[in-house]
Amino acid sequence: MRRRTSVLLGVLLAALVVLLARVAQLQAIEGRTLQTLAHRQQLATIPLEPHRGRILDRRGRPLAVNLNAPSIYAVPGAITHRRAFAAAIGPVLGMSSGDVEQRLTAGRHFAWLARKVERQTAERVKALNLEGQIGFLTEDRRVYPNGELAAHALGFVGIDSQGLSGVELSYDHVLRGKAGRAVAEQDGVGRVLVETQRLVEAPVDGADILLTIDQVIQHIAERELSAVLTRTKARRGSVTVIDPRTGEVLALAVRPAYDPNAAGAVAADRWLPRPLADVFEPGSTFKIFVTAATLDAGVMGPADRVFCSGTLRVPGSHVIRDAHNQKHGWQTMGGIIKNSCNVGSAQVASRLGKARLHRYIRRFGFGDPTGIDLPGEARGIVPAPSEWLGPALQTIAFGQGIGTTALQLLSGATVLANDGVMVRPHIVRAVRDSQGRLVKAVGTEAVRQVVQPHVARTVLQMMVGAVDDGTGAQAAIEGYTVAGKTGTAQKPSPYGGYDPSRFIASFLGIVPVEDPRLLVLVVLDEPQGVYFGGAIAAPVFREVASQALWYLRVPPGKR
Amino acid sequence: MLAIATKSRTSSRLRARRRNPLVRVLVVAVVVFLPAVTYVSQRTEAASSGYAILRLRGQVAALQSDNARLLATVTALKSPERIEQIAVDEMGMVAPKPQQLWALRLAPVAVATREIPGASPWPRIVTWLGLGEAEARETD
Repeated sequence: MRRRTSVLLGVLLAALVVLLARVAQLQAIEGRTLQTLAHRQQLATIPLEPHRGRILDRRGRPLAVNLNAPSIYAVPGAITHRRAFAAAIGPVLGMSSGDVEQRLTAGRHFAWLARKVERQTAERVKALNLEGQIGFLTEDRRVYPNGELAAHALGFVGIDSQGLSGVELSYDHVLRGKAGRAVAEQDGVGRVLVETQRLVEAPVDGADILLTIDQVIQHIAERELSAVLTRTKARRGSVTVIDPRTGEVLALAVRPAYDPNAAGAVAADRWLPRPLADVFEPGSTFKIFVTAATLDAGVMGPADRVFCSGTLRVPGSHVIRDAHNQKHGWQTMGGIIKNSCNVGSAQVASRLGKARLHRYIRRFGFGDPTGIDLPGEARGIVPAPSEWLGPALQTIAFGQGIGTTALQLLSGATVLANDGVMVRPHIVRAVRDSQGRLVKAVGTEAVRQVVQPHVARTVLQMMVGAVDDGTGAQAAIEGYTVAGKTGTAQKPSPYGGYDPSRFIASFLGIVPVEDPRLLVLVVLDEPQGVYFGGAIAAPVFREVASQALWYLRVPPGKR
Repeated sequence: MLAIATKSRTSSRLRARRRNPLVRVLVVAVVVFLPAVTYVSQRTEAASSGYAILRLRGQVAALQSDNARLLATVTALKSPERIEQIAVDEMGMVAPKPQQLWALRLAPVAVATREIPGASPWPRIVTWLGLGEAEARETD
């Protein structure tokens, strides 16, 4: 009996020792590894995605907002018959079975099927009862409620809400926000146990951006641009409106446009913000800068005259002519602007000389990006004086042989509206955090004094003459003093020289001259039929500016 | 003698009770298991509250989503293009032509204002005595 008891005790002790050894192995030797494994199974790291900031117009009207959208993923490891699965879900998602099967190869536990789909699509997928094989996640989808309105200023985002163009790209770091992270235990079916949740890093929502764009002025500019493109059958066009005192861009209209809600549906060249990305030869609008340079350098005074015989022989045995072979006779500087006299302007430039003209061209900002807070800005083409061969000095005087962007012309023209001081154009007015508190306010940035104040005022008065009694007569607005300059430039031919049948018509205007509130540039590329800037671009200026003045409650006050 | 007999009966009853294992089990159960049961029930309650919070969070998210959707719809309905289309197509409104507009320059208008008569002595006395009532009356 005692022996049996001893054997039993021995067995029990041995079992106890084995158990203790096992406990020691689990707790001491493999403890850390097993703890990690357990945490991995029980603990879930929950990414806390920030909401992208909204984009609002200057009066706080939403231009870009976020909506929740369901995204659908598959669990490839749980799908036994991939072909049948693909055949069932493919038509609902608008995908071929092959596409679905291809996506299932992305991983064993997770493969995106479709992201940011419509609610109805998600409901139809749910109705297929593929539980366990698919899952749903909610993501933010960027929505532009006004469709094409201001598309080139706003830009658009990619599938991961990353900015790809426009303000969405240049202010991506502000709009994006910062993702946060929480850790929580989860139950057997993967539900988060809220009582165990611990915030590791709080998410920070992206800041809202207040643009300088005014939704109504933008709409006016786009409407009038669309109308003139229909009338003239021009290939494309743009209307840019800025406040010359502050450099705030009030409208940036480009046609043809695109809907940023479906940016991928159009060719990539539609996305280009043409007023700052397209370089073109400005034509006669450039004369105002040459005139300002000549007056500021003291080479000629406003009353000094040159003679226009209709033609001018220039170096390289070339002949410069005026439009319609007009002979303007004796012309003051004001007369040259008023009649858009090429011959007179060429003579003025000859007196100014290459070096001085080049220096002023650079001081007006040509050849450098304006520094606007939008991506994709071109710097233009300003050859060095040593490269001005043949008649280049004379042709540059009327805007041929030099390449500028529309925005550079506008930026340069702010000099005339601000007593000789150039201001930098900008498109963002303020940044506000998600609680609506002001984070940053963008003010007026004066770049430099380009010409003397009296020179700027003199050139502005010359431009008033061009509208009152010159080539820009169709830009006149009843009750307001308008300063403007027309431009009609031949386009370079791909075979060398200029194409006699392709033109860029433009009009640059400032109103009201007494206290400039609007600076507008209309550019029409390759209009058909009538192609003169004074005939087709000036009326667009009149319509846009007059409606914008009424909207801004700027009272008439022509002196 | 009787007292000694009674004392010995009581102590034997106590000893019997001490020997009774059921009492011990009950005491252990109360001391050990009651806190354990309380702890488990609290955990269960916390978990069910957590699930309720999860459900409510889902509802909040859904409502916020609906709100954002409605705001986007309102924005789209307020778009200048749509308003103009309704004004032109449905209400027959037209934009004024330049010749239909005339800018008028107005001199500052001098507006004559009627002199307000001063109060008569009696109301002043009443007011001074604190007996007056506030009165608002429309004037023509």
